[in-house]
Amino acid sequence: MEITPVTSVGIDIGTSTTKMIVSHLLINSTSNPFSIPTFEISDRIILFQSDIISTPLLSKDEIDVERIAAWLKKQYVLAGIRVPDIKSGAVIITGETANKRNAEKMIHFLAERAGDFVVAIAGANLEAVLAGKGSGAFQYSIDNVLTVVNIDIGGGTANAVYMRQGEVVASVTFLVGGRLIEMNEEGKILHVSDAITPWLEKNNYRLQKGEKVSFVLLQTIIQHLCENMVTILMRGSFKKDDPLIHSYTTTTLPSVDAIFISGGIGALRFYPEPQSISDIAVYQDVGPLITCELQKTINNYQIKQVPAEQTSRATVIGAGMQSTEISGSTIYADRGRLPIRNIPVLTCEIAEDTLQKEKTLHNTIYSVLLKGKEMYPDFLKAPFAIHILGNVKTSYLLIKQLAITLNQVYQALFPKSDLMIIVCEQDMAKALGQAIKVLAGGRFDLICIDQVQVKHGDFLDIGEMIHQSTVPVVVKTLAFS
Amino acid sequence: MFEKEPLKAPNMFGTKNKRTLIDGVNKAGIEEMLRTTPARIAVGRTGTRPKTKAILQFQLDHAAAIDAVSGEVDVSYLEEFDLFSVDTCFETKEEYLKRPDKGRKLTDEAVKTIKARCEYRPQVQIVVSDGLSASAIDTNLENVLPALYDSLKVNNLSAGTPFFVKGGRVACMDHIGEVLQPEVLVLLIGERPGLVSANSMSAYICYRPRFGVQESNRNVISNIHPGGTPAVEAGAHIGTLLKKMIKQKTSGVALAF
Repeated sequence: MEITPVTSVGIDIGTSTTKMIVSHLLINSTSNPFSIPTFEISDRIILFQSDIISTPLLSKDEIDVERIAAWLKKQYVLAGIRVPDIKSGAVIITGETANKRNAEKMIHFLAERAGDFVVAIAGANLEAVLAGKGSGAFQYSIDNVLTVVNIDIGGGTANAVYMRQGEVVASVTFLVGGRLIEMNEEGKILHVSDAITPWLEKNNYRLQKGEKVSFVLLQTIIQHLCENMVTILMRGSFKKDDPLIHSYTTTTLPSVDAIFISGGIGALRFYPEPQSISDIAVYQDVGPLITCELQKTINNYQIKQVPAEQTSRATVIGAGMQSTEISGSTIYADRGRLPIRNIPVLTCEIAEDTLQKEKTLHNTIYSVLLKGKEMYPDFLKAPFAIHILGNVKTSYLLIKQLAITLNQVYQALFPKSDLMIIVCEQDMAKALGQAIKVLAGGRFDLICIDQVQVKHGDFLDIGEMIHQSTVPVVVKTLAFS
Repeated sequence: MFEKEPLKAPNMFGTKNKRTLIDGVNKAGIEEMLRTTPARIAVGRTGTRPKTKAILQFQLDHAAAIDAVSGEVDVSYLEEFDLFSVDTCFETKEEYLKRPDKGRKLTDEAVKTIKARCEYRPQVQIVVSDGLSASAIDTNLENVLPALYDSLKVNNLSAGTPFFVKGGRVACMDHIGEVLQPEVLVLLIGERPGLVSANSMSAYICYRPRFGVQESNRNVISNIHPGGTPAVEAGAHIGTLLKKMIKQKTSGVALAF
């Protein structure tokens, strides 16, 4: 069987630096000849890496979109690719950059110009996950059957993600980053980010723009900052209103077997320990000092540290190579309806016993779809993807019952819709899709896919069919809320 | 050491792998490995021997495999799916195991029956057989068959009269093909039981099965059981495969994907 390479780009616009990569994802059959062919992304190959440039800004709170767009165009030429060749990938806006005035506008503008199927993503959780995948922490947790934490520290934020044997279990983002405090070689403070001010105030540190700071004070502050963060990461819990916390998915963190450090701070790992203000200020910020103090703190905890495979480029590699996944290979999709983008996900939770009670199943599905109709009154065609969640035994009886109910409720609530989209947790999309199709006939087209992890509120991009059996999928958590 | 916990029916892949774990360095890791395989790993030992429970479980699984071979599919179960039953020349289960060739040939009576009751030259002929595991049919038929019928409808394919063959081997497809002359034939047959799955089914599919067909001309979807390929998805997939065969007028290794 032919191996299809999918060209994918990743673009990371961070607080201090911007970079991009071009890669090939190889989609290949991994099954034996005696079973239904199943497909996997069998390999990810980096074709091109850009230089790491300083993120072009117009002012402190505005990104220079034109300069980024021009730079990107040049990188495509250098990489030897054309925009139509690009079939997947992501532009991610990370750290403090996401707070810039024109961030949302810019990321969508770039995603549109970066290629047909490049998605715009932002959000600390996703950023943490992608960095954890790009740094090698994700694969390490699978290969060694362990729980690991990857901390990606850039200019504005530190994104920690906990991965247990290839499963993301928690993420938490700290307001810790190299660019939060900027100063020159003489120790004159050039800028203190608003993000770090509450923490500084709480701990009675006074840093004033224009004033000089001593090496000792700066060291004390950064040591305290690192100590605070590592304590939270290792102790496994924190207060919701802790000024150091930017965002989180859960307040209870698991204990870990190993730690990875990626991001710009990870890249400075072998930088000599700074002895003076001018040693620290090589980038006019506190980056080198954070690296050094963080390392000392981690050493005190005596936890196993694994060197990250990628540091500065962990997030961009994650965005370019890990944002796309592959659906199950027995799915249903009517011709001509793919690709499709930005489909909101509505979760329909099905309990095992709902299935025996026809009425309950009807009510569950009806109430979810009705809510969807209220939430997205403007959508006419494919209002949302119905996510069938529930760890139930897949029998034909269940499939049939689901098909009857979905068909009935959908036609009642969306009589004008000509497309229905379903995402199942379990391997049953083809059977369910065909059962619905038999009932609905030609009244609406159908896309029914499975084995993709989504949750309520996510957005989905579904690509064109590959080998007539599987689709590439990008799951996006809400970029800007 | 004797453990008092009652033994359970054979474990299916991934469902209830509750084995006593030895004190390992990475307990979570071992548990994860247990989730990914039905193989008998991390069962522990006493001295140089497996524990009593592990041995009893092994014997129980072995017994289930033997039961699957010697068991019979209930006629009333087949009637639920409108399947009538005919025999191959297998005579008895003992003879069936010794003489695979006899399971490849229908009796004269069976030929007469299917000639009388089945549509001649159908586009798709569906046949169900116990093969080496009657429990494979008991477990999977109710999920495979209706999903298969849906996939035929969606792909605009028409099926002839389905029936059940008792004591069938895979190549009984060829004899049935000679008699009924279908364009494609789907045989849902019980697989040789193993110590992990006693109720696994295969779907063998062949374009114009006739005497003399090579094994390489057949396609198979194997390992259809609750811990393997889900029965509903296997059934749903067959229609797509049939459509390809009819379009390309071939099956087996020559079929392009």
